[in-house]
Amino acid sequence: MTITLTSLDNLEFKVDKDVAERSVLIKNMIEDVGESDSPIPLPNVTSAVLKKVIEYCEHHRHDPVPVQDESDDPRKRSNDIEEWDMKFMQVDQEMLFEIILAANYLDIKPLLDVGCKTVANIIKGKTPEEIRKVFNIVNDFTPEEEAQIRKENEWAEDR
Amino acid sequence: MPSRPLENGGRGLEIAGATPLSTDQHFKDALSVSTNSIQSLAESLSELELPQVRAAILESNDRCNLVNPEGMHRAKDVYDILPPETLDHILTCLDRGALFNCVTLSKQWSRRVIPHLWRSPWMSYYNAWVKLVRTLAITSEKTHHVILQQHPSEPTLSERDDSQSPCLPSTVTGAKTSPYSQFVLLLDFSSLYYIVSDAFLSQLLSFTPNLSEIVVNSPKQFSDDSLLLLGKCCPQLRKLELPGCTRITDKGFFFILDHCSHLVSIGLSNGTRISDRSIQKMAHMFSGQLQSFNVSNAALVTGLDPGLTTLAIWCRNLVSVNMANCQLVRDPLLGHFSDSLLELNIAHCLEVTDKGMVALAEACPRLRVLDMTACSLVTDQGVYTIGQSCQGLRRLVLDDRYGRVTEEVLVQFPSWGKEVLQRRRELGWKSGSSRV
Repeated sequence: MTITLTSLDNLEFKVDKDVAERSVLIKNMIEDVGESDSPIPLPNVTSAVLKKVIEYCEHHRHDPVPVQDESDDPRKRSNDIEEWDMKFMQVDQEMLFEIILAANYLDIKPLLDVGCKTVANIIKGKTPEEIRKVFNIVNDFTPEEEAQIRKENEWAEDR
Repeated sequence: MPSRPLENGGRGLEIAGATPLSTDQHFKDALSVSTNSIQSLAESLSELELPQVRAAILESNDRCNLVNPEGMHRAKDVYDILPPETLDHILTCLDRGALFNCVTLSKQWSRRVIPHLWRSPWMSYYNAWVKLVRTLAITSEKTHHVILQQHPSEPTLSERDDSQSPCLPSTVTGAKTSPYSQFVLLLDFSSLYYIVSDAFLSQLLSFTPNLSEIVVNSPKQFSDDSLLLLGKCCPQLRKLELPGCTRITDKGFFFILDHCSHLVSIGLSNGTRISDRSIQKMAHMFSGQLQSFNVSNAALVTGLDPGLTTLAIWCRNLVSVNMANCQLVRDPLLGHFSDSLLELNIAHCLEVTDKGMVALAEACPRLRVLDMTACSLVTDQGVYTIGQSCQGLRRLVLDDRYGRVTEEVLVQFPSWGKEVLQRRRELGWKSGSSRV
């Protein structure tokens, strides 16, 4: 069965049902609406981003559905991204965040996970000043405040 | 305007070497020219490209609206693009060093990062721990912190009930909180036996009132004094793991039971002095909430079985029990457990026979993991009963070098839908291991 998805800019995308249902939001919508041919509107996602998201879902269509992680420990790693996903995520930073926002909105946990790990990898190995530059962060600490926070947390510094 | 198929994420017009900034500038310029130009722009694009250009213009408009009074375009801080739970998701992928680099980015970033950084401090160098404790001490003296809220300090137990407390260091008797204190949730000292001691903990624990989980593995200088301290300072404790803490006794453990009412998981493996009085008291007090209990390799002062029987009968919500190498485990005990049990380790419980297996199969049909390594009296019949009865069983651990279990029954497991069947030697099990 084919599902039609409509992006913010009114482009229609036809995808197989099992591909579309990688998005829990869409899956629930389909269940609510029942057997219907009417397209599902996704006003929060532009066509460029939706195209990427669909590409991801099609590649991963046979993956087992992620099980709810019951462990208390939220610590994750970021060095276990598979190769296809890594290439998939080689986009400009703007698109990266748009994909993350779309994955969040559409509730596609594996894609959200990969997106977040990718951002984490951007952060790793950079100094605070480098991170500020990449993420457009304005430093609103005074030099004294910054030094104080740094000192309070210096037990954590990698030496 | 060259007309060509779109490749670059909907920007519409491909401009060599464009960064988002210059593309926006281009659109700004484009928007500020006359309608005619827009018209010819639109006409030069194909049917497919037009909607994407429209979307790009709309997006670019949004960003242009961020222009500050001086008319300079400024891109958005990532913090303001992503929802807070997504930021947290990213931060959980970072190690301690990376989090440290994020803690001084800006004030709002700092507030977001600090809970992640302080949640579970772990450093292999004693010096680093000294710095941590120093921060806690210094910041608790001050009333105001540049970015964190000072939590109102609640009276500690020692102020309310001094009659039971022995003499404790003065750091405990005051209500000490640093603004960082609230974030320390987990202390895993399992490889840090050389750092942990009563003296060290007496400095640290008074600053960790929200501590939920602590693991202390085989330290030399860890006595009941530390348990008393834990009971007083950390009433929110949920998981307490004390493998190899050979100096603690019932006295310290009783104090914990009396003061930490939220415990769900307790581990006392490889210890020597906890008696069944403690097990019984624990079973009675935590009957509804205890989920996990580990008493493997415990050298027992008194007979442990009455304690274990009380545990099984009273604690109806037990999920995971490890009694490896507890020689007093007998068949009837296995039938007393509640059907909440999902994981059981009875490795090296040499007195267990097929009767015990049958009793277990009947009492705990939801069992998922069973370790019966070296239960040499168990035969094919016992294993067969477990396999048939426990539909959810996904891991059975045993060792081929012992016992009477043959391939005949083991090969049937896959046909019952059991996915995993493991041999101890595959797991690289070592004597004294306390984990299923």
